[in-house]
Amino acid sequence: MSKRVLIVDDAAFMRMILKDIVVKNGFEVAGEASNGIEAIEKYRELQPDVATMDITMPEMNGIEAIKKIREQYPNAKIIVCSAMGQQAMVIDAIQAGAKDFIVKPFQHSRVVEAINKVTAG
Amino acid sequence: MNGEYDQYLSTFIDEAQEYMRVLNDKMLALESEPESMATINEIFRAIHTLKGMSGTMGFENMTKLCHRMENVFDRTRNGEIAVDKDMMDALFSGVDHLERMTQSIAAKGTDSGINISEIVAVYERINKGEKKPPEKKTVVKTQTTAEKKSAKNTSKQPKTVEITAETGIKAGKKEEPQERAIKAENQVPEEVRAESEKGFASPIALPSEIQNTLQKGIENGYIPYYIQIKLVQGTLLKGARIYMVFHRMDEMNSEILYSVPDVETIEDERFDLTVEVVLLSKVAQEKIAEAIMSISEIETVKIHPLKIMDEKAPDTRTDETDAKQNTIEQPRTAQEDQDQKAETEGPSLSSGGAASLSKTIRVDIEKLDTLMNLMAELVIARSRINETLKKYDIKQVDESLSQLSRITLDLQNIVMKIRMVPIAYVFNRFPKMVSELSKSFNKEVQLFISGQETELDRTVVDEIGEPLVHLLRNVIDHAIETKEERLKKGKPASGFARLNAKHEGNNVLIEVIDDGKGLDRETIARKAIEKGLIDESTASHLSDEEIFMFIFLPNFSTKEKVTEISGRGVGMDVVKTRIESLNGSVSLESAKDVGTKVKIRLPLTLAIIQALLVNVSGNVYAVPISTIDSTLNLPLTDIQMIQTREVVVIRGEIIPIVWLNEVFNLPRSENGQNIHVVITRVGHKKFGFVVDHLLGQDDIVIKSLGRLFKNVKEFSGGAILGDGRIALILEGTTIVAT
Repeated sequence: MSKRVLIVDDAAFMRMILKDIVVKNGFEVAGEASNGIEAIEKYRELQPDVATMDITMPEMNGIEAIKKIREQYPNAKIIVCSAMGQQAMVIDAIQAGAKDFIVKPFQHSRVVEAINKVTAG
Repeated sequence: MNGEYDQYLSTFIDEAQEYMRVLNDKMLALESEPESMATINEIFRAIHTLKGMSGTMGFENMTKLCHRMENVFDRTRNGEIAVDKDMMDALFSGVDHLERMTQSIAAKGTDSGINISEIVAVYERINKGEKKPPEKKTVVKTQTTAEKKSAKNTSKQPKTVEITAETGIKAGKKEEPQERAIKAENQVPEEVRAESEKGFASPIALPSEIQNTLQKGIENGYIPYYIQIKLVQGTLLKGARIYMVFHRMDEMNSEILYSVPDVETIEDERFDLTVEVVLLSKVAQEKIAEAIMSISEIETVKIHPLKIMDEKAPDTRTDETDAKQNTIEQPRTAQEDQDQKAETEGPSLSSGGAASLSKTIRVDIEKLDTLMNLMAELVIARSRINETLKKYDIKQVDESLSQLSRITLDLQNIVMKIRMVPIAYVFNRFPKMVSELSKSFNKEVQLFISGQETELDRTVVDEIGEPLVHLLRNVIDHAIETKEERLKKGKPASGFARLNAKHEGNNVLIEVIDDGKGLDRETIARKAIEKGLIDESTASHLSDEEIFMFIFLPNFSTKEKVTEISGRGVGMDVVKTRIESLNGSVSLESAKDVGTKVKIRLPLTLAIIQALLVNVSGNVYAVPISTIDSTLNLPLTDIQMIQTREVVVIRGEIIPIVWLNEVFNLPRSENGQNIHVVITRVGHKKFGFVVDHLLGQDDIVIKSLGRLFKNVKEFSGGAILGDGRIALILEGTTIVAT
């Protein structure tokens, strides 16, 4: 069964790009969210295999969202999406429980590798 | 020698010397721990590399000897020949031959002058096994079987790997089977395959506190690992990626003790793709490799358990004085002695030894000299600009000028630092020398070394070795008494020699201390009177130190009698001359039956010296401060004539004077009724150089006068002054001879 991915990003454009990559590589898009609060709700509702999480978002940022999701679902597999130069944020996210990170602009292979790796472990 | 490789000769010599150092280190380690496979492997590798190098260069004798040695060590590696005394003797002698060949190659470009037939025969005999069966053989055998067994199992079963890792620590390393590295391919973490890795104790140099922690970790059941992580080319946010590795290790209750580069550098992403870490963990190495490979963008992981070379070091090294006390109070066994020697070797491995070599680059010292010269010119150019612009008061220029000054100063410091090497380069060979010498003199002497991390200019390091060898030889040969004598005097049976190095202002202070018989004031004083150097009354006025200084005079105490009683003396004048030629100084303190302390002070560098600038008939000359005794302003009438020589009498001392203007054929300038005299020490005598003016003291950068003036012996070099003028540096020895 193909892996179900929840895509969280406040920019519709980025979500579109990610959806494209995910679908083209044989995964399934479970759903989308555009901020941290929505992400928590969607995660609870959809129980995806993996979620991609942007860091900088309105309402609640990605790091907070990761923490909240991991409180309820300690096995949640979240890949954090970051831009260049956000190293400190990425490290925070990993401490919060993110399993991998991908860097914008996304490379298809990297996104696929990340999804495969976090779902395998 | 093969002509086409001539250009590589200096590299060859440099590297060969490095391998000699490695061999010397490892031999001592092997002597104390004859079963250590890691050490045997290191020795084997060093010899093997030397063989390849010398073969390429066409040095046949060296190649031949290396080949024989390699054969024997190969069999030792396989447990067929055990390390025993016979073997150790052969090894010492073999390395000795190799050293002499290297020296011969450095000096004459060939190794053909060294006779190797005898030593080759020894190795052939050992290789044939013509000696009694070694006792340790069985132990080695069992190890090997165990290792082979574990090696046969595929590393897919974590259990097996774990056993191997355990053995790796307890039984000492064995190159191929034990010290395997797991290399996992990207995206196929399950496929873990063994790869033979080098048998380094640690591929990265570890600070001593880390070694301590490792030691404690092992005691608490942890396994120390060396891990090399390589990221995929093009990885973004590399720092965060490596952080993920660290984070994962943390989750596995494993502690990263040390990393190269350090954490800060990793966070700043100032590294290429590879990070090396030392880890303490209870997890099997395969599990660790798997965990790391499960992280994205990891190209390869290499991991193998680490063995601490020098396990006893941490507690004994912390306080050398304690160690000394212990050694004095208890009779020591030979084994303990070896430990001590190994101990002194320990820190050098992390500071200047083989382990850190991989991180250095080799640069021809001539290039550094050029860099230094350019640097000096830059400094001069700057001060000229400064000088010129002083006339105009321009604010903006001032600011940029002071910035320029700061930068040039920093640059200057860095250039100086580049030339610095730790004195360990010299000190490292002494443990072996002392152990050999004390054996041959049948005395018990322990060597303590401290401060080997002290850095000084490469040229000074190269020159200081010989005088130190001399001093240490004297300690063992003359100063330290025989065991019986020592016991009779109520001293501990084994004596010690101590080598200390430390920075002291702009100098390096090297001390050679022993607890031997010390110098006997009376004997030396009597000898000096006999020789007519002083009379009875002067002798009684002189301080101990002044009396002791007589032993530095040439031919002072070559007579057996004095040598024996004074405990020192042979060739001390050579030592003094050598050190003075480095602009250094020697002094000594001694107490009868307590010991002697020789203090050597050396400038940090030879390239920049402090000099007194003087004016003679309108020309500026520089006199090195280190040679100056005092400066005086005297009335002309103080000059007296003794036979045909002009002299002055200062504090009862008759000092010949030299008119520098006459030496240089310059007109004598009218200076009224007084003259300026610079009293300079030349060898053991003092001379007064008459100059017109004293201009002041300055740091000058010594520059050679070049080939054109190589026959000009009156000057040791020249220096460019801040105002662009050139000051020639006076060479006292030749000036007084003319």
